[in-house]
Amino acid sequence: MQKPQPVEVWSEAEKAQRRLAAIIESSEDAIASKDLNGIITSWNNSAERLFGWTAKEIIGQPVTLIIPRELHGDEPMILGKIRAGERIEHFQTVRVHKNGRLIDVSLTVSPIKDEKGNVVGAAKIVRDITRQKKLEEAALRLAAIVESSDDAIASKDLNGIITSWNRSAEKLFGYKAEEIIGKPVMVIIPPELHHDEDMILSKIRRGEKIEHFETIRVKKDGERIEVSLTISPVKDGHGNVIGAAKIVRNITETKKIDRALRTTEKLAAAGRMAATVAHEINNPLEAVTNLVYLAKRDLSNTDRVAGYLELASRELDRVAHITRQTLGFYRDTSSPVRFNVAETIDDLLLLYDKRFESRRIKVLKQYDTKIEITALAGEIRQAFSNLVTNAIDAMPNGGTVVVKVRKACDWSGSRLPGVRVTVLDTGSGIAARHRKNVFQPFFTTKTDVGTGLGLWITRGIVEKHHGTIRMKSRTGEHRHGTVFSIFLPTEFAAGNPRSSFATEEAGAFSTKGAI
Amino acid sequence: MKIIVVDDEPIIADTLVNILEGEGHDALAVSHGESAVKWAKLVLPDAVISDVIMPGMNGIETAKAIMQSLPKCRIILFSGQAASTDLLAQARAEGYAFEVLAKPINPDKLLEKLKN
Repeated sequence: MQKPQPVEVWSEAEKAQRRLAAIIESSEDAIASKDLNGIITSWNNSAERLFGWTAKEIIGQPVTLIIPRELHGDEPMILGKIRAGERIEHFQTVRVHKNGRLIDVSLTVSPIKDEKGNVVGAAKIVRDITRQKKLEEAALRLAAIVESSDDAIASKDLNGIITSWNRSAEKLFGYKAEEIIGKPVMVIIPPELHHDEDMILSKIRRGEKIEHFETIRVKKDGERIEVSLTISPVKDGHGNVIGAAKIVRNITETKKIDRALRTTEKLAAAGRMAATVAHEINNPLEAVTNLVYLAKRDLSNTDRVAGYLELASRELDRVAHITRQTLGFYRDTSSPVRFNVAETIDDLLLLYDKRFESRRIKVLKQYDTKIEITALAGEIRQAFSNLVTNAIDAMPNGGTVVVKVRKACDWSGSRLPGVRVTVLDTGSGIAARHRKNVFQPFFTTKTDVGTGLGLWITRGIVEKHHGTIRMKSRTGEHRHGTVFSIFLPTEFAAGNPRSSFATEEAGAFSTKGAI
Repeated sequence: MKIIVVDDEPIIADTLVNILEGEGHDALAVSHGESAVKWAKLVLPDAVISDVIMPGMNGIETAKAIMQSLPKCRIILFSGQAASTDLLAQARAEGYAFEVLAKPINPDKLLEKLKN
């Protein structure tokens, strides 16, 4: 009458064992077991993947197969502990793949006991920590880079509390890491700039980066320094912004040098002005002095005196002209009028006909004859005329001038409709070192005839009309010349002129290409 | 006295010649250094009055060239700009000492200078 219970008991045990076997096989960790002699007795799928040995190959082999030679001494220690019934947890060591590659692993080894409680072997769980190790090393390397950087590097959380502070930051600000970490970043921001921090934090919260933000910070001793900040959001593994990392560069010295340079430039401009004014004023004065002398001498001859006075008054006009230009009184006081651009330029070119002829300069005109704009006609004529005379002066030995009038849109964003007037010459070009100066007042390469005011005035006129002026120049042996290009909007808009002009190295251009 | 006046601005050269002629001098106006050198060889002037900064040959180069053929000729330079001081310093380094008058010159003073 006995029920076949034992059979059921066995099948329950069998089920449990199968379940265990399935768990072990599907484990992401490599799981293996060995006997007390170090002979491998089981080997799961992950172990095959991790070490490259199949279960078939390695079961029955000594465990030293997967231990690097120099660590073979560890094995008796491990076995010793196991024999004593101890467990080894998270033992970080190195194992070796079938192909010889070393693997950083974390071992957990537990004794296997028989039903009587005797230790008969060991089960080990091997976790591959190569990636984790690499991350740790990378983190250490990064920390070392940050620590040794010449720039001050610090980080803060989203409440503006400082969370890290490198050695250069210590040097720059005078605060030690241990005294400033945990403090609000406000301690290094001057009181009147505290509102900057709100702006910075709100940008960072949005995940935006702030680059080369020039501002003022305060050192521990109260000294103010000019700095350039680059601040990036720090994100966690899920992409959430958790803080900000900032690189602080001390630009106090650079700024000082900048200011000194600007002063030098101003002095140079003043020097050029003195030379120009001296020439433009002293020569007419010399003539007037002589003419007054002659008028006094020939007082009884009214015809002669009248002639001298006429000449003197012309010379005085010259002086008046230069002072008007230099003192910025060159203004068209009339109101803007509608005029045809091509016609205006054509009239202007007529004035220079004799000079084109005597210099053997060919003039090519490419006009869109329908374009009209509303502008201060006198000033625009002056601007065009400056470009044309520059082109003539650039070609003492002849050449070609190309004048183009085209419909165009503003280059710089506003997309305003308007006209582009281009004046191209085939002269020797402007040396690269002079290009950035051509729009500066009193800058001239034409020491005999130039006042250095033409392009400066031209730029002023163009900007007053909310237009742009650009220059390209080449000084190559075969391809050389200069092209000035002015954009003027169709409608005249009063208001503050903007400053937008550019000079650039020419792309490939030649008269051929331009025509 | 035979005098050549050199200035790239004809009105200056012409008025000076007029003034000099009024005082009984025999004066000639030219507007380039090159033509001054050429004319100097032909008319053998006693003095040359020259501007310094001119296109082509400047006043100092002109003066040096004339002194080579006419060592006794008097050279008076006059200039309206500071740039000429650099040229003069350069000439001094080469052993030439030129006197430069600043424009504008009082004609009476210039005539006085020619007498001495």
